[in-house]
Amino acid sequence: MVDFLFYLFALITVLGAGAVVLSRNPVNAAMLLIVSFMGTASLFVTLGAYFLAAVQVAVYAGAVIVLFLFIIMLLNVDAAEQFRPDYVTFAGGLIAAALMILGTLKLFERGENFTLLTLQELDPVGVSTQSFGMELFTTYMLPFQVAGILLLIAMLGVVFISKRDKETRKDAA
Amino acid sequence: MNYPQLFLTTLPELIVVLGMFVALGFDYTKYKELDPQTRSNKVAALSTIALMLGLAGVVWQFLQVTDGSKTFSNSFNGQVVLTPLTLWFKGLIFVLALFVVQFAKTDVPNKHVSEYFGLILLSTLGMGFLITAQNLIMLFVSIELISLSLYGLTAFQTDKKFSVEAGIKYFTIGGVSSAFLLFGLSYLFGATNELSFEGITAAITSGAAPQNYVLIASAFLVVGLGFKIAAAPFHLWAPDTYQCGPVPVAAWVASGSKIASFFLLVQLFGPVLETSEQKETLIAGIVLVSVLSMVLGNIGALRQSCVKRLLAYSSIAHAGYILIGLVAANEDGSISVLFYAVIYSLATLGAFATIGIIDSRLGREAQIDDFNGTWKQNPGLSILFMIFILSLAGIPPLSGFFGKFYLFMAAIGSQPEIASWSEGFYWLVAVALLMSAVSLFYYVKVLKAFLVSADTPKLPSIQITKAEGAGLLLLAVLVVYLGIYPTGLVEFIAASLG
Repeated sequence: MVDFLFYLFALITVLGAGAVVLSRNPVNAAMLLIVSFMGTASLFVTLGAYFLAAVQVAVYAGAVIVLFLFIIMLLNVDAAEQFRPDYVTFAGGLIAAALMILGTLKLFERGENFTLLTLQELDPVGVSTQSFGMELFTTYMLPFQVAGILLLIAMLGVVFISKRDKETRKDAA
Repeated sequence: MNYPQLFLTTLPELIVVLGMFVALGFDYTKYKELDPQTRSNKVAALSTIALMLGLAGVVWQFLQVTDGSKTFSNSFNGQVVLTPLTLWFKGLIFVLALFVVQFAKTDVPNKHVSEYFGLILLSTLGMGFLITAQNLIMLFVSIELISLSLYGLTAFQTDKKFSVEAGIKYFTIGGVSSAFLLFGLSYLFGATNELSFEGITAAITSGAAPQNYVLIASAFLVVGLGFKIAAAPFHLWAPDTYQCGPVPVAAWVASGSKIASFFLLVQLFGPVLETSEQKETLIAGIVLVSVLSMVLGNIGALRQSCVKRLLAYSSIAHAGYILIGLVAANEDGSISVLFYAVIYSLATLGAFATIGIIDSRLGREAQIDDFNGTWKQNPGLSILFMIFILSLAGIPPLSGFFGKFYLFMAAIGSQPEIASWSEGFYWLVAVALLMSAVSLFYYVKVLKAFLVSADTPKLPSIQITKAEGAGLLLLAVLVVYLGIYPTGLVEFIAASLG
């Protein structure tokens, strides 16, 4: 049963991601990305990582996609022009995909006796939301704070990239 | 969780962050009405004070650790590992940041002065954290801290099309490389179930981790970190970033972030390469990257007329040389990589700073022709530039020569029983020597314009500020000193690695 669910959700994820790339309309692409994210969230659920699944839906499928849509609509992007990859690009992509598939097959062929553990087996206390929060603010306090500084960089970047001075605006006009 | 201890451990970083907020606050309120140059000087002064206090913190920690104090023995599962070696390199990063701030203050690209210095300080923090990080989560967060600040800094000249283009190029390629890195890190975690380098190395050497997963992880890590050190074939962002970003930023990308990335490479790959079963495959991959970098970098530099672009290609070539030390896969190799990263950064920072000074006085990008006869008007600047360039070219007795010597000796010495030239790393060293000879051509071409060209000088006599002059002089003295007396640093690195 779990196997069947894994293949189902993996298929949804991969097909969704493929449709994002192939879609000509940016708004459709963003919507299809939600499908892919939902597939990933379901995979997290099958692994027992419920909190991660919820975050995946709330943050990625929710907030990030809304931001994408805002930008697409603000910039008023029409359906992308017909993209015709030249033969070199096409061949490059094909070779990369073939290598990836080959590598994955090889990986499983030589997979030794390596069994994947579910999260509960791995760390019985570490999967609840509470223990996640505890870990985040104790063991991983420092990386958490540094991630906060990362957001500060984004703020500084917005200030100098998007703020126009009065003079430069006159020049541009 | 011991919060007071975490506070003491990250004290230098906290000081710098605090200093950055003070600088931002003053710039947004009290200095608001001043003209950009005055603001730049004031904010640079505040940043300098913050960095100096931070450096004092690092020195204090260094003295504590070398005294054998146990205050910093808790590394928080490898998140901040304070040893004499990591603290020395962190101190070096802070010193280089001090230089960059001095070079940056005379020519701030636009009115957003405090953001400019703020981003320089934040990238300094990231490099410091990366050097002390021996934990996958901390590693990735600090790499992103460096990368994001550098993307922003590269695109800082928002009124110049090429600066923005370089920023976007750097951002896109850097983003993809971060994805590769993260993918590799997640494989590494999946295979070993460990986050700290110590645990990962133990899991790999004991054979608990499945070897083919480790190999895949390493391949992705080579790609991801290859972007960060600008090694071919992952070098495509480097020429544009170095040429079109603000010059102090290019200097900072080429020096500080290189030291931090190579330090990480040694920390991460050193133990794996010495022991892993997949050593052969991994070394073959790194050798390929190294040869490609040396060839593409040096050949590419031959035809450049813009000096910054030339230095960008030369930095690709230097990444190739440094990787030779990594494939030696022994302690000598690690020592030589760290030593070369230090002296390369000093020399390249000096060279970029000189070009930055010339560019800002010239009001445009300096081509090699622009330097014709600079010797007559600016003898001091010419001599300093000559020292930096000759060190990059690897001419004895400057430090660049000894750096290369140690790298090549480490590679040859890694397989002492081999006699034929086609075995071991003899051929790799031969390629490197050949490429060094090629590089001499373009380095000397630049120097010829500076020193012996008979044309009338295009550049007027250049007034440099005291801070710039002192910075350049200090860098040149360090480059010469480490050439004449390299054993001090090499022995220190060797003692602290072991």
